[in-house]
Amino acid sequence: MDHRQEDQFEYQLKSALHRQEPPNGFTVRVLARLEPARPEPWPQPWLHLPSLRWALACALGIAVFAGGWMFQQERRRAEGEAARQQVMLALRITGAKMQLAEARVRHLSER
Amino acid sequence: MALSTTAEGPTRTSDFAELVEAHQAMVFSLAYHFLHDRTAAEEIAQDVFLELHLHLNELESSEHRISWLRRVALNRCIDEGRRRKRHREAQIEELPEPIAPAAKVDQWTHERLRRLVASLPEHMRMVIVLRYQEDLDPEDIAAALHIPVNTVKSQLQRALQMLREKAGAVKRT
Amino acid sequence: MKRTLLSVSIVVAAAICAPAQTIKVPESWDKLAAKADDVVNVSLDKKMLQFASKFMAGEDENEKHLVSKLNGIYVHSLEFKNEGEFTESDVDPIRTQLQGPEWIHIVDVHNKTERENVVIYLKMVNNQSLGMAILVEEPKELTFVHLDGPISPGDLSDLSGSFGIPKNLHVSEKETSKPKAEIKK
Repeated sequence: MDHRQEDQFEYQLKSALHRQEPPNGFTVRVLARLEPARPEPWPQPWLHLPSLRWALACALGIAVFAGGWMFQQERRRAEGEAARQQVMLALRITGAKMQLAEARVRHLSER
Repeated sequence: MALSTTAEGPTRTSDFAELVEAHQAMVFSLAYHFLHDRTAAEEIAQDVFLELHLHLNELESSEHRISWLRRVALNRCIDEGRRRKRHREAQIEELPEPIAPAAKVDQWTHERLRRLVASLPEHMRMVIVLRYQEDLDPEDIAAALHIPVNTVKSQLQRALQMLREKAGAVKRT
Repeated sequence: MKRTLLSVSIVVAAAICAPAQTIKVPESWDKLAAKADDVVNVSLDKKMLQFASKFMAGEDENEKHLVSKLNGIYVHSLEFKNEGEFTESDVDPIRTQLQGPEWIHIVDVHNKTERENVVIYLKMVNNQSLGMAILVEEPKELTFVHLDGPISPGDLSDLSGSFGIPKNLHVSEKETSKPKAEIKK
Protein backbone atom coordinates (compact mmCIF):
# COMPACT_ATOMS: atom_id res chain seq x y z
CA MET A 1 0.00 0.00 0.00
CA ASP A 2 1.59 3.32 -1.10
CA HIS A 3 1.22 6.76 0.48
CA ARG A 4 -1.63 7.70 -1.81
CA GLN A 5 -3.56 4.64 -0.84
CA GLU A 6 -2.70 5.27 2.81
CA ASP A 7 -3.99 8.83 2.60
CA GLN A 8 -7.09 7.57 0.87
CA PHE A 9 -7.75 5.06 3.66
CA GLU A 10 -7.30 7.65 6.36
CA TYR A 11 -9.50 10.04 4.43
CA GLN A 12 -12.22 7.41 4.27
CA LEU A 13 -11.76 6.72 7.96
CA LYS A 14 -12.13 10.39 8.73
CA SER A 15 -15.27 10.58 6.64
CA ALA A 16 -16.70 7.49 8.27
CA LEU A 17 -16.00 8.85 11.74
CA HIS A 18 -17.29 12.37 11.16
CA ARG A 19 -19.40 13.77 13.95
CA GLN A 20 -23.05 12.89 13.80
CA GLU A 21 -25.93 14.67 15.44
CA PRO A 22 -27.93 12.61 17.91
CA PRO A 23 -31.59 11.89 17.13
CA ASN A 24 -33.94 14.89 17.14
CA GLY A 25 -35.09 16.13 20.53
CA PHE A 26 -31.90 15.09 22.30
CA THR A 27 -31.54 18.35 24.21
CA VAL A 28 -35.17 18.25 25.32
CA ARG A 29 -34.72 14.73 26.60
CA VAL A 30 -31.60 15.71 28.54
CA LEU A 31 -33.39 18.68 30.10
CA ALA A 32 -36.38 16.50 30.93
CA ARG A 33 -34.11 14.16 32.85
CA LEU A 34 -32.45 17.14 34.47
CA GLU A 35 -35.58 18.58 36.08
CA PRO A 36 -36.38 15.81 38.56
CA ALA A 37 -32.70 15.17 39.18
CA ARG A 38 -31.97 18.69 40.26
CA PRO A 39 -34.94 20.90 41.03
CA GLU A 40 -34.28 24.52 40.48
CA PRO A 41 -34.18 26.74 43.52
CA TRP A 42 -37.07 29.09 44.01
CA PRO A 43 -36.54 32.45 42.49
CA GLN A 44 -36.20 34.83 45.41
CA PRO A 45 -34.83 38.02 43.90
CA TRP A 46 -36.40 40.11 46.63
CA LEU A 47 -34.19 38.37 49.19
CA HIS A 48 -31.21 40.05 47.62
CA LEU A 49 -32.45 43.44 48.77
CA PRO A 50 -30.58 44.33 52.00
CA SER A 51 -33.49 46.32 53.45
CA LEU A 52 -35.87 43.43 52.96
CA ARG A 53 -33.40 41.03 54.49
CA TRP A 54 -33.10 43.29 57.52
CA ALA A 55 -36.86 43.58 57.73
CA LEU A 56 -37.18 39.82 57.55
CA ALA A 57 -34.52 39.36 60.23
CA CYS A 58 -36.27 41.92 62.48
CA ALA A 59 -39.65 40.27 61.94
CA LEU A 60 -38.13 36.92 62.76
CA GLY A 61 -36.54 38.36 65.91
CA ILE A 62 -39.81 39.92 67.01
CA ALA A 63 -41.63 36.66 66.33
CA VAL A 64 -39.11 34.73 68.42
CA PHE A 65 -39.32 37.31 71.23
CA ALA A 66 -43.12 37.34 71.14
CA GLY A 67 -43.20 33.56 71.09
CA GLY A 68 -40.90 33.41 74.11
CA TRP A 69 -42.95 36.02 75.96
CA MET A 70 -46.19 34.18 75.22
CA PHE A 71 -44.63 30.90 76.33
CA GLN A 72 -43.53 32.53 79.62
CA GLN A 73 -46.99 34.01 80.11
CA GLU A 74 -48.64 30.69 79.45
CA ARG A 75 -46.30 28.92 81.85
CA ARG A 76 -46.94 31.59 84.50
CA ARG A 77 -50.67 31.25 83.96
CA ALA A 78 -50.45 27.46 84.35
CA GLU A 79 -48.42 27.82 87.55
CA GLY A 80 -50.89 30.38 88.88
CA GLU A 81 -53.81 28.13 88.10
CA ALA A 82 -52.08 25.23 89.88
CA ALA A 83 -51.47 27.47 92.92
CA ARG A 84 -55.12 28.61 92.89
CA GLN A 85 -56.30 25.01 92.81
CA GLN A 86 -54.04 24.21 95.75
CA VAL A 87 -55.51 27.10 97.72
CA MET A 88 -59.06 25.98 96.92
CA LEU A 89 -58.28 22.40 97.89
CA ALA A 90 -56.74 23.54 101.17
CA LEU A 91 -59.76 25.72 101.97
CA ARG A 92 -62.18 22.94 101.03
CA ILE A 93 -60.46 20.49 103.40
CA THR A 94 -60.34 23.17 106.11
CA GLY A 95 -64.03 23.82 105.61
CA ALA A 96 -64.92 20.14 105.76
CA LYS A 97 -63.06 19.67 109.03
CA MET A 98 -64.58 22.80 110.51
CA GLN A 99 -67.99 21.48 109.54
CA LEU A 100 -67.19 18.19 111.22
CA ALA A 101 -66.19 20.06 114.35
CA GLU A 102 -69.42 22.04 114.29
CA ALA A 103 -71.49 18.90 113.86
CA ARG A 104 -69.81 17.31 116.84
CA VAL A 105 -70.23 20.43 118.95
CA ARG A 106 -73.88 20.73 117.97
CA HIS A 107 -74.45 17.07 118.74
CA LEU A 108 -73.00 17.51 122.21
CA SER A 109 -74.97 20.67 122.80
CA GLU A 110 -78.22 18.99 121.88
CA ARG A 111 -77.70 16.16 124.33
CA MET B 1 -35.12 29.68 36.10
CA ALA B 2 -31.70 29.64 37.72
CA LEU B 3 -29.83 26.39 37.61
CA SER B 4 -26.42 27.07 38.98
CA THR B 5 -24.02 29.92 39.33
CA THR B 6 -20.58 29.96 37.80
CA ALA B 7 -18.24 32.80 36.96
CA GLU B 8 -18.48 32.36 33.22
CA GLY B 9 -20.40 29.14 32.75
CA PRO B 10 -24.08 28.62 32.15
CA THR B 11 -26.40 29.66 34.89
CA ARG B 12 -29.83 28.99 33.41
CA THR B 13 -31.68 26.18 31.69
CA SER B 14 -31.55 28.01 28.39
CA ASP B 15 -27.77 28.42 28.71
CA PHE B 16 -27.34 24.79 29.61
CA ALA B 17 -29.48 23.79 26.61
CA GLU B 18 -27.14 25.81 24.40
CA LEU B 19 -24.19 24.01 25.91
CA VAL B 20 -25.82 20.64 25.21
CA GLU B 21 -26.55 21.62 21.64
CA ALA B 22 -22.99 22.82 21.13
CA HIS B 23 -21.40 19.58 22.26
CA GLN B 24 -24.03 16.92 21.67
CA ALA B 25 -22.59 15.84 18.30
CA MET B 26 -19.16 15.33 19.83
CA VAL B 27 -20.38 13.35 22.82
CA PHE B 28 -22.94 11.34 20.88
CA SER B 29 -20.45 10.51 18.09
CA LEU B 30 -17.75 9.43 20.51
CA ALA B 31 -20.20 6.98 22.02
CA TYR B 32 -21.62 5.92 18.67
CA HIS B 33 -18.24 5.29 17.05
CA PHE B 34 -17.03 3.46 20.11
CA LEU B 35 -20.07 1.21 20.54
CA HIS B 36 -21.65 1.37 17.09
CA ASP B 37 -25.10 1.53 18.70
CA ARG B 38 -27.17 4.69 18.33
CA THR B 39 -29.56 3.87 21.18
CA ALA B 40 -26.75 3.15 23.60
CA ALA B 41 -24.86 6.19 22.33
CA GLU B 42 -27.79 8.49 23.06
CA GLU B 43 -28.23 7.04 26.51
CA ILE B 44 -24.57 7.53 27.31
CA ALA B 45 -24.60 11.05 25.87
CA GLN B 46 -27.58 11.97 28.04
CA ASP B 47 -25.86 10.59 31.14
CA VAL B 48 -22.70 12.53 30.32
CA PHE B 49 -24.60 15.82 30.05
CA LEU B 50 -26.47 15.15 33.28
CA GLU B 51 -23.14 14.61 34.96
CA LEU B 52 -21.80 17.75 33.33
CA HIS B 53 -24.64 19.68 34.88
CA LEU B 54 -23.62 18.48 38.32
CA HIS B 55 -20.02 19.57 37.75
CA LEU B 56 -20.61 22.86 35.99
CA ASN B 57 -19.20 24.88 38.83
CA GLU B 58 -15.92 22.99 38.65
CA LEU B 59 -15.45 23.50 34.90
CA GLU B 60 -14.34 27.04 34.44
CA SER B 61 -13.46 27.36 30.75
CA SER B 62 -14.95 26.10 27.53
CA GLU B 63 -11.77 24.07 26.78
CA HIS B 64 -11.97 22.52 30.20
CA ARG B 65 -15.58 21.52 29.59
CA ILE B 66 -14.77 19.96 26.20
CA SER B 67 -11.88 17.86 27.50
CA TRP B 68 -14.02 16.86 30.49
CA LEU B 69 -16.86 15.79 28.19
CA ARG B 70 -14.51 13.69 26.04
CA ARG B 71 -12.94 11.96 29.03
CA VAL B 72 -16.25 11.19 30.76
CA ALA B 73 -17.85 10.03 27.51
CA LEU B 74 -14.98 7.66 26.77
CA ASN B 75 -14.98 6.28 30.30
CA ARG B 76 -18.68 5.55 30.05
CA CYS B 77 -18.15 3.94 26.66
CA ILE B 78 -15.47 1.68 28.06
CA ASP B 79 -17.76 0.66 30.91
CA GLU B 80 -20.62 -0.02 28.52
CA GLY B 81 -18.36 -1.87 26.07
CA ARG B 82 -17.02 -4.13 28.78
CA ARG B 83 -20.52 -4.77 30.01
CA ARG B 84 -21.74 -5.83 26.62
CA LYS B 85 -18.79 -7.93 25.46
CA ARG B 86 -20.03 -7.94 21.93
CA HIS B 87 -18.53 -10.04 19.15
CA ARG B 88 -18.21 -7.38 16.55
CA GLU B 89 -16.11 -9.43 14.14
CA ALA B 90 -19.02 -11.72 13.39
CA GLN B 91 -21.28 -8.81 12.50
CA ILE B 92 -18.81 -7.42 10.00
CA GLU B 93 -18.99 -10.61 8.00
CA GLU B 94 -22.73 -10.17 7.70
CA LEU B 95 -22.54 -6.89 5.76
CA PRO B 96 -23.95 -7.28 2.27
CA GLU B 97 -21.87 -6.38 -0.78
CA PRO B 98 -22.45 -2.86 -2.11
CA ILE B 99 -24.51 -2.22 -5.16
CA ALA B 100 -24.36 0.92 -7.37
CA PRO B 101 -24.76 3.92 -7.34
CA ALA B 102 -21.54 5.53 -6.01
CA ALA B 103 -23.15 7.43 -3.12
CA LYS B 104 -24.44 4.16 -1.76
CA VAL B 105 -21.00 2.63 -2.13
CA ASP B 106 -19.51 5.41 0.06
CA GLN B 107 -22.27 4.94 2.59
CA TRP B 108 -21.58 1.21 2.66
CA THR B 109 -17.81 1.82 3.02
CA HIS B 110 -18.31 4.22 5.87
CA GLU B 111 -20.61 1.86 7.70
CA ARG B 112 -18.14 -0.97 7.19
CA LEU B 113 -15.30 1.16 8.54
CA ARG B 114 -17.31 2.21 11.56
CA ARG B 115 -18.03 -1.42 12.34
CA LEU B 116 -14.35 -2.25 11.97
CA VAL B 117 -13.43 0.57 14.32
CA ALA B 118 -15.98 -0.69 16.82
CA SER B 119 -14.34 -4.12 16.67
CA LEU B 120 -10.89 -2.81 17.69
CA PRO B 121 -9.54 -3.31 21.18
CA GLU B 122 -10.82 -0.51 23.40
CA HIS B 123 -7.57 1.49 23.70
CA MET B 124 -7.01 1.44 19.95
CA ARG B 125 -10.63 2.35 19.42
CA MET B 126 -10.20 5.36 21.65
CA VAL B 127 -7.14 6.72 19.87
CA ILE B 128 -8.68 6.12 16.44
CA VAL B 129 -11.93 7.90 17.38
CA LEU B 130 -10.07 10.80 18.92
CA ARG B 131 -7.69 11.02 15.95
CA TYR B 132 -10.20 10.75 13.10
CA GLN B 133 -13.44 11.98 14.65
CA GLU B 134 -12.06 14.70 16.89
CA ASP B 135 -9.06 15.41 14.66
CA LEU B 136 -6.72 15.53 17.66
CA ASP B 137 -2.93 15.34 17.39
CA PRO B 138 -1.17 12.46 19.14
CA GLU B 139 -0.08 14.95 21.82
CA ASP B 140 -3.69 15.98 22.52
CA ILE B 141 -4.82 12.36 22.56
CA ALA B 142 -2.04 11.54 25.00
CA ALA B 143 -3.17 14.40 27.23
CA ALA B 144 -6.82 13.37 27.00
CA LEU B 145 -6.17 9.74 27.84
CA HIS B 146 -3.31 10.37 30.27
CA ILE B 147 -0.93 8.08 28.37
CA PRO B 148 2.49 8.74 26.77
CA VAL B 149 2.59 10.24 23.25
CA ASN B 150 4.66 7.33 21.97
CA THR B 151 2.02 4.90 23.17
CA VAL B 152 -0.59 6.88 21.27
CA LYS B 153 1.52 6.83 18.13
CA SER B 154 2.21 3.08 18.29
CA GLN B 155 -1.45 2.33 19.02
CA LEU B 156 -2.49 4.49 16.07
CA GLN B 157 -0.13 2.62 13.77
CA ARG B 158 -1.25 -0.79 14.98
CA ALA B 159 -4.90 0.20 14.83
CA LEU B 160 -4.60 1.47 11.25
CA GLN B 161 -2.77 -1.70 10.29
CA MET B 162 -5.48 -3.88 11.80
CA LEU B 163 -8.20 -1.85 10.12
CA ARG B 164 -6.50 -2.13 6.73
CA GLU B 165 -6.05 -5.85 7.16
CA LYS B 166 -9.65 -6.35 8.21
CA ALA B 167 -10.91 -4.09 5.46
CA GLY B 168 -8.87 -6.04 2.94
CA ALA B 169 -10.08 -9.36 4.33
CA VAL B 170 -13.69 -8.26 4.12
CA LYS B 171 -13.13 -6.96 0.62
CA ARG B 172 -11.64 -10.28 -0.47
CA THR B 173 -14.57 -12.36 0.80
CA MET C 1 -61.15 4.51 96.49
CA LYS C 2 -58.82 5.33 93.80
CA ARG C 3 -55.47 6.16 95.18
CA THR C 4 -54.42 9.67 94.34
CA LEU C 5 -51.34 11.52 95.29
CA LEU C 6 -51.16 15.24 95.05
CA SER C 7 -47.58 16.24 94.99
CA VAL C 8 -47.19 19.93 95.28
CA SER C 9 -44.24 21.33 93.45
CA ILE C 10 -45.00 24.64 95.04
CA VAL C 11 -43.55 23.27 98.26
CA VAL C 12 -40.09 23.60 96.82
CA ALA C 13 -40.59 27.23 95.94
CA ALA C 14 -42.09 27.89 99.32
CA ALA C 15 -39.17 26.26 101.07
CA ILE C 16 -36.73 28.43 99.16
CA CYS C 17 -38.54 31.73 99.29
CA ALA C 18 -39.99 31.83 102.79
CA PRO C 19 -39.34 30.77 106.37
CA ALA C 20 -40.13 27.14 107.12
CA GLN C 21 -43.56 26.19 108.39
CA THR C 22 -43.71 26.75 112.15
CA ILE C 23 -45.47 23.49 112.94
CA LYS C 24 -43.63 20.48 111.62
CA VAL C 25 -45.45 17.35 110.56
CA PRO C 26 -43.61 14.31 111.94
CA GLU C 27 -41.60 12.15 109.60
CA SER C 28 -43.78 9.17 110.46
CA TRP C 29 -46.44 10.78 108.27
CA ASP C 30 -44.27 10.06 105.24
CA LYS C 31 -44.42 6.36 106.05
CA LEU C 32 -48.17 6.63 106.65
CA ALA C 33 -48.54 8.37 103.29
CA ALA C 34 -47.06 5.29 101.65
CA LYS C 35 -49.88 3.22 103.13
CA ALA C 36 -52.62 5.77 102.52
CA ASP C 37 -55.16 5.61 99.73
CA ASP C 38 -55.46 9.33 99.40
CA VAL C 39 -52.76 11.82 100.29
CA VAL C 40 -53.06 15.59 100.22
CA ASN C 41 -50.10 17.82 100.97
CA VAL C 42 -50.54 21.52 100.40
CA SER C 43 -47.86 23.98 101.47
CA LEU C 44 -48.33 27.52 100.29
CA ASP C 45 -46.33 30.37 101.80
CA LYS C 46 -47.14 34.09 101.61
CA LYS C 47 -45.52 34.51 98.20
CA MET C 48 -47.36 31.62 96.68
CA LEU C 49 -50.65 32.78 98.20
CA GLN C 50 -50.15 36.22 96.71
CA PHE C 51 -49.33 34.63 93.38
CA ALA C 52 -52.39 32.38 93.54
CA SER C 53 -54.66 35.27 94.56
CA LYS C 54 -53.90 36.92 91.19
CA PHE C 55 -55.63 34.01 89.54
CA MET C 56 -58.65 34.01 91.85
CA ALA C 57 -60.55 36.68 89.93
CA GLY C 58 -63.65 34.51 89.68
CA GLU C 59 -63.66 33.46 93.32
CA ASP C 60 -65.64 34.83 96.25
CA GLU C 61 -64.44 38.14 97.71
CA ASN C 62 -64.30 36.69 101.24
CA GLU C 63 -62.13 33.88 100.06
CA LYS C 64 -59.77 36.28 98.36
CA HIS C 65 -59.73 38.48 101.46
CA LEU C 66 -58.90 35.50 103.66
CA VAL C 67 -56.12 34.35 101.37
CA SER C 68 -54.66 37.84 101.21
CA LYS C 69 -54.45 38.00 105.02
CA LEU C 70 -52.73 34.65 105.51
CA ASN C 71 -48.99 34.09 105.62
CA GLY C 72 -49.35 30.44 104.75
CA ILE C 73 -51.69 27.53 104.29
CA TYR C 74 -50.45 24.04 105.18
CA VAL C 75 -52.74 21.04 104.83
CA HIS C 76 -51.74 17.41 105.34
CA SER C 77 -54.42 14.80 104.96
CA LEU C 78 -54.14 11.02 104.83
CA GLU C 79 -57.06 8.75 104.03
CA PHE C 80 -56.68 5.01 104.54
CA LYS C 81 -58.55 2.02 103.24
CA ASN C 82 -58.60 0.32 106.62
CA GLU C 83 -59.00 1.52 110.18
CA GLY C 84 -56.16 1.66 112.69
CA GLU C 85 -53.41 2.49 110.26
CA PHE C 86 -52.09 5.27 112.49
CA THR C 87 -51.52 5.59 116.24
CA GLU C 88 -51.34 8.35 118.81
CA SER C 89 -47.57 8.35 118.46
CA ASP C 90 -48.06 9.68 114.94
CA VAL C 91 -50.13 12.59 116.25
CA ASP C 92 -48.39 13.40 119.54
CA PRO C 93 -45.47 15.33 117.97
CA ILE C 94 -48.00 17.78 116.52
CA ARG C 95 -49.87 18.10 119.79
CA THR C 96 -46.57 18.77 121.54
CA GLN C 97 -45.87 21.68 119.21
CA LEU C 98 -49.32 23.10 119.94
CA GLN C 99 -48.85 23.02 123.71
CA GLY C 100 -47.20 26.42 123.91
CA PRO C 101 -48.96 29.22 125.82
CA GLU C 102 -49.91 31.01 122.63
CA TRP C 103 -51.99 28.10 121.39
CA ILE C 104 -55.44 27.70 122.85
CA HIS C 105 -58.07 25.04 122.17
CA ILE C 106 -61.26 26.55 120.91
CA VAL C 107 -62.76 23.15 120.11
CA ASP C 108 -61.68 19.81 121.51
CA VAL C 109 -64.07 16.95 120.80
CA HIS C 110 -63.27 13.35 121.61
CA ASN C 111 -65.93 10.91 120.45
CA LYS C 112 -65.13 7.40 121.62
CA THR C 113 -68.07 5.84 119.83
CA GLU C 114 -67.12 7.29 116.50
CA ARG C 115 -63.46 7.14 117.47
CA GLU C 116 -62.98 10.70 116.38
CA ASN C 117 -60.85 13.47 117.86
CA VAL C 118 -61.37 16.98 116.55
CA VAL C 119 -59.23 19.74 118.01
CA ILE C 120 -59.15 23.33 116.80
CA TYR C 121 -56.41 25.59 118.11
CA LEU C 122 -56.09 29.31 117.86
CA LYS C 123 -52.79 31.10 118.18
CA MET C 124 -53.24 34.20 120.29
CA VAL C 125 -50.51 36.75 120.93
CA ASN C 126 -51.36 39.98 122.71
CA ASN C 127 -55.02 39.25 122.21
CA GLN C 128 -54.52 38.97 118.52
CA SER C 129 -55.16 35.87 116.52
CA LEU C 130 -52.07 34.91 114.54
CA GLY C 131 -53.08 31.51 113.28
CA MET C 132 -55.30 28.52 113.47
CA ALA C 133 -54.61 24.80 113.56
CA ILE C 134 -57.04 21.93 113.08
CA LEU C 135 -56.14 18.36 114.01
CA VAL C 136 -58.71 15.70 113.14
CA GLU C 137 -58.32 12.00 113.80
CA GLU C 138 -60.94 9.74 112.28
CA PRO C 139 -60.86 5.93 112.07
CA LYS C 140 -59.62 6.00 108.47
CA GLU C 141 -58.47 9.58 108.17
CA LEU C 142 -55.87 11.84 109.68
CA THR C 143 -55.86 15.55 108.92
CA PHE C 144 -53.81 18.51 110.05
CA VAL C 145 -54.48 22.04 108.86
CA HIS C 146 -52.43 25.07 109.76
CA LEU C 147 -53.59 28.50 108.67
CA ASP C 148 -50.72 30.86 109.44
CA GLY C 149 -51.66 34.51 109.80
CA PRO C 150 -54.07 36.89 111.48
CA ILE C 151 -57.14 34.76 111.02
CA SER C 152 -60.09 34.91 113.33
CA PRO C 153 -63.17 32.72 113.66
CA GLY C 154 -65.03 35.66 112.19
CA ASP C 155 -63.05 35.31 108.99
CA LEU C 156 -64.12 31.71 108.78
CA SER C 157 -67.76 32.59 109.35
CA ASP C 158 -67.49 34.97 106.43
CA LEU C 159 -66.72 31.94 104.34
CA SER C 160 -70.04 30.37 105.22
CA GLY C 161 -71.41 28.71 102.18
CA SER C 162 -67.97 28.30 100.77
CA PHE C 163 -66.05 25.13 101.34
CA GLY C 164 -68.65 23.97 103.86
CA ILE C 165 -67.24 26.22 106.57
CA PRO C 166 -70.04 26.58 109.15
CA LYS C 167 -71.33 30.00 109.97
CA ASN C 168 -72.22 29.40 113.58
CA LEU C 169 -68.85 28.12 114.65
CA HIS C 170 -68.28 31.44 116.28
CA VAL C 171 -66.02 32.00 119.21
CA SER C 172 -65.97 35.33 120.94
CA GLU C 173 -62.79 37.19 121.69
CA LYS C 174 -63.45 36.57 125.36
CA GLU C 175 -63.80 32.87 124.84
CA THR C 176 -60.75 32.61 122.68
CA SER C 177 -58.65 34.25 125.30
CA LYS C 178 -59.41 31.43 127.65
CA PRO C 179 -56.99 28.61 127.32
CA LYS C 180 -58.22 25.16 126.42
CA ALA C 181 -61.99 25.59 126.22
CA GLU C 182 -62.65 21.92 125.84
CA ILE C 183 -65.78 19.97 125.14
CA LYS C 184 -65.21 16.34 125.86
CA LYS C 185 -67.52 13.46 125.67
